[in-house]
Amino acid sequence: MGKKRKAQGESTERLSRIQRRFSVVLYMLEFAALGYPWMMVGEKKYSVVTFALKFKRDGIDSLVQQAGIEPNVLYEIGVKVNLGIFAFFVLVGIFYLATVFARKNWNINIMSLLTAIAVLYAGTTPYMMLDFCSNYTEGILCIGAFMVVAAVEFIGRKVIENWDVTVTEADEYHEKERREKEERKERLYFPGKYKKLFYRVIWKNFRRNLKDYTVLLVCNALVFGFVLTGFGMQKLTSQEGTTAKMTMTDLGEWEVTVEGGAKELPQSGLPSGAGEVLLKSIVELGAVGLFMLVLLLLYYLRKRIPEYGVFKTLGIRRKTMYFCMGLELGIGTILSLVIGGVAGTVLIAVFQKNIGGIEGSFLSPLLLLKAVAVMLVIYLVTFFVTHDLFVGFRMGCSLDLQVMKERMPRKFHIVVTAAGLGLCALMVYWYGMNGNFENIQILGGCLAGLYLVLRFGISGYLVHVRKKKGALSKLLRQHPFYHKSRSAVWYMFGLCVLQVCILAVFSVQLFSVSLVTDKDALFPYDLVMCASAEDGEDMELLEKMRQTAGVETLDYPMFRVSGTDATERSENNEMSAIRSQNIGISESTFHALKKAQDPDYIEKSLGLDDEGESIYIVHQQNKATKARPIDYKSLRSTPYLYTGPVCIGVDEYSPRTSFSRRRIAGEEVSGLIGALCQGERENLVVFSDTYFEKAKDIWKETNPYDGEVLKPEERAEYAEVLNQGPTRLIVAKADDAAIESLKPDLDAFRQRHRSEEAYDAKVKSYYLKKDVMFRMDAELNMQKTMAKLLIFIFFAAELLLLGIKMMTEKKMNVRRTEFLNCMGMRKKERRKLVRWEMGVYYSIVALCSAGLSTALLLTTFHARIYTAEDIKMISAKLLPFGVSELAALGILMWVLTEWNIRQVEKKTREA
Amino acid sequence: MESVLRAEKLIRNYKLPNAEEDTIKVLKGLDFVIEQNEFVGIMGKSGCGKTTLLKLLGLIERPTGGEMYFKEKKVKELWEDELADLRRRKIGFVFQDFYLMDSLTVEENIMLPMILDKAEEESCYESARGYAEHFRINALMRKYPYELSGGERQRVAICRALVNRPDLILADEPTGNLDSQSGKIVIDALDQIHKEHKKTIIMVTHDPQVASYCSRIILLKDGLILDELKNGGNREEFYQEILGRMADL
Repeated sequence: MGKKRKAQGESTERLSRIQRRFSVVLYMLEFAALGYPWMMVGEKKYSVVTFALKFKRDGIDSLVQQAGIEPNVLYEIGVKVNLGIFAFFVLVGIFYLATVFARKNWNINIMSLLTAIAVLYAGTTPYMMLDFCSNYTEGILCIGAFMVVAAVEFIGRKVIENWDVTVTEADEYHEKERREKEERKERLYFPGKYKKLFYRVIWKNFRRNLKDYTVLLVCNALVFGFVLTGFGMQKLTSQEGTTAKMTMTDLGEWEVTVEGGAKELPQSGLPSGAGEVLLKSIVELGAVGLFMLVLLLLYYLRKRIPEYGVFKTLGIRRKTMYFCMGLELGIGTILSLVIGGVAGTVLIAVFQKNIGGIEGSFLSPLLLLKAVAVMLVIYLVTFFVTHDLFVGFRMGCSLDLQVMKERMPRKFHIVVTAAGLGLCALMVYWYGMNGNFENIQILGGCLAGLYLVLRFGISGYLVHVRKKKGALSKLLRQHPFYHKSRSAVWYMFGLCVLQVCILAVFSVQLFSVSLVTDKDALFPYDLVMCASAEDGEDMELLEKMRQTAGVETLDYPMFRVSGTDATERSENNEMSAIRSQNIGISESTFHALKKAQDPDYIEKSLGLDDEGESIYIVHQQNKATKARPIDYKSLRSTPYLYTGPVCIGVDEYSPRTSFSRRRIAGEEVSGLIGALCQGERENLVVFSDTYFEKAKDIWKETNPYDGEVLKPEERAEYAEVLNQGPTRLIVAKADDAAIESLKPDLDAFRQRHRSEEAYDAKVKSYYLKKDVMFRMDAELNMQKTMAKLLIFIFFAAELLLLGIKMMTEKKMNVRRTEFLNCMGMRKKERRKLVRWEMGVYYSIVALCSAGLSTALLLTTFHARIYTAEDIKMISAKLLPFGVSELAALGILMWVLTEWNIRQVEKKTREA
Repeated sequence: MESVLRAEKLIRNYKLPNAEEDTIKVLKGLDFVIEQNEFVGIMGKSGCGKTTLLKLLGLIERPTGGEMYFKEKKVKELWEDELADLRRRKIGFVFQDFYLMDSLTVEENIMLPMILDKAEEESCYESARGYAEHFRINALMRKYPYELSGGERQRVAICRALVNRPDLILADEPTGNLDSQSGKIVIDALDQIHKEHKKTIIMVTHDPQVASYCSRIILLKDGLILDELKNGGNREEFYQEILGRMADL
């Protein structure tokens, strides 16, 4: 005991000695610093001491003069206070050192630290010592050093004081950790290596599920293949994908910079539209891929987890089990990435061949990395969805789920079913509006309504039937739906979703291409230009074109009509949405263009008013293109449109005063001057002649950045930046040779209009028919190819869903068959029962999907403004397709049912 | 004498996300001791917590409350891998649904606990052959479980439970899926294990005839121990006693 106390005493003494030495050294440094000449007054350097002596000897005026600062009476007081604080700091320091030498632990250093802070504060206060220094920053650093050293001394002493405790605690912690590690090692001692038998057992166990594993792997590979194809095609077609980014300059002005793609904006070049079609399809394929992945993973886990459960019960080490599982999944992932990579590359080669115009290499390490990253995100989503479903449906539960009854909605059957129907009807109605651009979210809402109808409608019917007389006679037939109501509805709903996508979405994509029969009617002119009447060179070019052999030119007045947004998807916050740009013409120009296209055209009133509230829209797009409104934001059915060039500062949520709200008096889909941007841009907006004349000058009174009406006094300020944009619409029919001869002039024309073109790469200053047609052909080819692929994949997903339903319910069906067999039911009757169940599935799915698809198809025709002739033509293809698709589904369901019956009977016999 | 298992106020609750009640209280505080070389039966109505109790005793699950000791070691203080080691070396399982792996042969199924214990291959084969011969299934060694009858499968499961020479055998309704003849073979086998191999056996059963083989019966009702019955030595009398008490369950 005595020794311990003695040792403690020695340790304390040792620490005190270190503390004392530490404090003395630091405070001596502080005092030495007082003599360091850090103050630059005029041309001479001073320390605090020499500065004080100079002040005492020559007075403040001399110092003020030397420093070259404006005299002020406050300087004298300031310097006195400042020097006083310094003196106090020194006194406290000396006193502190005295207590240290006297071995008193009085903590005077706190006072010293506070004084050092006061020194720093005083240094930065006006009329004090630092005002005399020409090296202000150096001065701040120097007086700051006093405070830093005082703080280091204060903290250092505390650290030294607690040093032993800290070291002891750290030693104890390490000792505890070491002991725990040793204990763990001892308690979990499991020497040796697993023998060959172990690996054989694991392999045999895995091999039994090889078929399911392969299906999962192929599905994984397909999804990765699609992802890679998406990125690859995006890279190949992105050379035209230039976008304008708007940034505010230091002067508070908007600046447009062109980002991405080629430095030179190509006139039309590669078919970026086809790339967009592809990307959209890839997203859809990704979605169904995800759906299939979740389904397969659920099925796979349901099979594998009980097998690993046996290993766990028999005492396999956790690490070993996770290693086996990880290896299984890891190998699958790597293989699927390799196979998917190859499949994606092949797919791109196929697209390159089919579409044409896309050349070059797309593979790069970065692209592969991006694709793998996306795949990992998909895996993560799959994992979470699967986990939720696994937990939600209690698949990992030790209870026998097959025998558990699923809960059925007990109340509000009629109300919710009616609400579901209402939701469906409302969404179908919205889907039919051109302004809603066949929005996928509306389709989602419609399917949500269908789910409610199925869930509550079927439950309501079953509950109703149970209450009625004669319910017992239907008991056996209805039992699967009554007992497993939730699963049954989910299967039906899943099938309906896939069916609706095939029948109402992809089929339209596929067959609407056949409506694009007369491509020349979509591009009546070989050259379309948006020129400026005020530009002498433009007018000279027009004159030259008129005189060129083989060129027939027409020209009309026009102005730009800009909206608030031309993008279907909202952009990220950093980048403002691209404003829509269209061509504004007068009613008489419209009639003239019509007449030029069709000499038998009879003029009719478009119902336009003199105030420009009513407009007539010509959606310049082909019939295979989906519905596209003139503006994607701010009330698409009554858009806000401005009759001038784009005001880049206008926010799509708050259109400014110059943006008038318009009423669409009429609209049509045609290529009156040419389907230049397939309805995305460059549509024709027709105004009454009177309003057209008025609107021509609105740009003169509009702030070109924010769209507000300029006050008279502001107009001069904006005079230089005010710009009307193109004012002359020139259309020409010309042979190839003539266009070739005009090429240098057209290039010069383009350079003159470069600033207009730079804003949105899709809007050109001139369009050549052959380029635009090439682009459209590529888009249509892509649309057709992807629609076929999507139909195939979605149909395969339906079969997969049915297959998984049958496989997961097999055990339950075997038990039921055993039971019914024991109860004396004949084989024929038992088979009839299973067939009836699948018949109900098919009937409900076929009925719902056919009904909903018909409604959606009709509304799609309405949204796309199809004529009766168009509807007749497309229906002639859609109807046989729909019927044969439903028949094919029916036949395959029948085949699967028969196969299932045989499997179940076989298992029952074996049992 | 050191007990094999000891439970003090043993509680097990389950949380079910979709259930109407958030928590289901299955075992509500059980106290009992299982001594070495005992053959204990657990009886009770369906849903009274028999299988849950067996999972706790088999160290497959951990109790929600109370204490449980395996060979005087507090189960709560054991790590996951220690529990796995105990399951592998000290406990043998026989389940109603056999719990055999269809992908493995009978021989491999029997050897499985030894394989997981990194035992030498030769000793694995030797032990498997020994037990297979003992339970007269040596002709089935190359077959797969789905090729066997229920009784044969259960005998394979018993061999697997014994192969690592455990101290405790847990049987969850081992005759539940078998016809009376196969059931008799299985219960005779368990009885033989108890008597000849001096193993401690805990068996969950519904069948009073099967239960009459036990030296002691724990009667469970609504998650609590209703009573304990002791076998006086005469199986027929014990059977009658069990029958008499079953009405109370």
